[in-house]
Amino acid sequence: MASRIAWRVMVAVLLLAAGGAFGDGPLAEAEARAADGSIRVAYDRFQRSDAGSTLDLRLAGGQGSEARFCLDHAFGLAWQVTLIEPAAVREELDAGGTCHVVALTAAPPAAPLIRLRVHPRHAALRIEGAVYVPGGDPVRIQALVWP
Amino acid sequence: MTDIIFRTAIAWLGLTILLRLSGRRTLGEMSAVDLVVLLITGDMIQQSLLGDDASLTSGFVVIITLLTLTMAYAKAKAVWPGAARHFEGVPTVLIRNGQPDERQMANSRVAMDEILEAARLQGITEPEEIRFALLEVSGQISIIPRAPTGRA
Repeated sequence: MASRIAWRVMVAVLLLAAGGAFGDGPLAEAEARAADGSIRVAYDRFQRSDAGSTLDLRLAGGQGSEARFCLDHAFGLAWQVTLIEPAAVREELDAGGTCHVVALTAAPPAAPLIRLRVHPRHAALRIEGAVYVPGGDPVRIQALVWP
Repeated sequence: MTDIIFRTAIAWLGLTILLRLSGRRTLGEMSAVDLVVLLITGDMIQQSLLGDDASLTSGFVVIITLLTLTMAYAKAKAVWPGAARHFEGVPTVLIRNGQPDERQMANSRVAMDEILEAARLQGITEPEEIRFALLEVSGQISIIPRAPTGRA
């Protein structure tokens, strides 16, 4: 009887895992956007510590040859950014956090996509931070981080 | 996470097939060489299963996947015993009534010394005292002694 229950629990855990309850799946997919529409962020609401996760930033058009986005201090405490694509050409300190400047292609798309690879710094029921463009409204993102 | 589950399932299936192909004796009694191969195999597979994901959650998902596959395999063996026999094979007779079957021993890569070693564990010292020596599907050697002759 106990083994039958254990088997069902294990199958349920695998289905949840495949669905994304521990990250990397449809259940984990989340999207947030700034109130003024300046930035949209797609991310995983479920993440794992010691494992990477991806944030896709879509900036509003009209960026010219460079695009700027900023991560607030809380974001820096919650996540470690390991990769930015396209690569940031420089970083600038802002009162609210750190801003990254990336070079766009000669003919930038209407809403440039910037991909961040991040690692949560620790497991927690909730970690949060904000992403914003200078002068724009922030996008708050929250995630549950499994150990 | 789906890719971790798939990679684990493929690794389980691939390793199971490879170990079966390598012969039953690899499973039954490991020599130093077999142990080294298995240790390195485990290390290599671990890298490909998890990559740079060092989270405890992913580790548990891998373990749960392996346990579920093992339980599903046991269930499948019970439901389709014929298919399981086809995959795992049947016990091989190595000695019958004290007479070694050289061909089966060569096919199974079992030496007479190994059979005698298994026999000695049962207090049997001579091949003539063995009724059957069987290479089980687990790789173990079973010894069935001849019935003791009754005194007149």
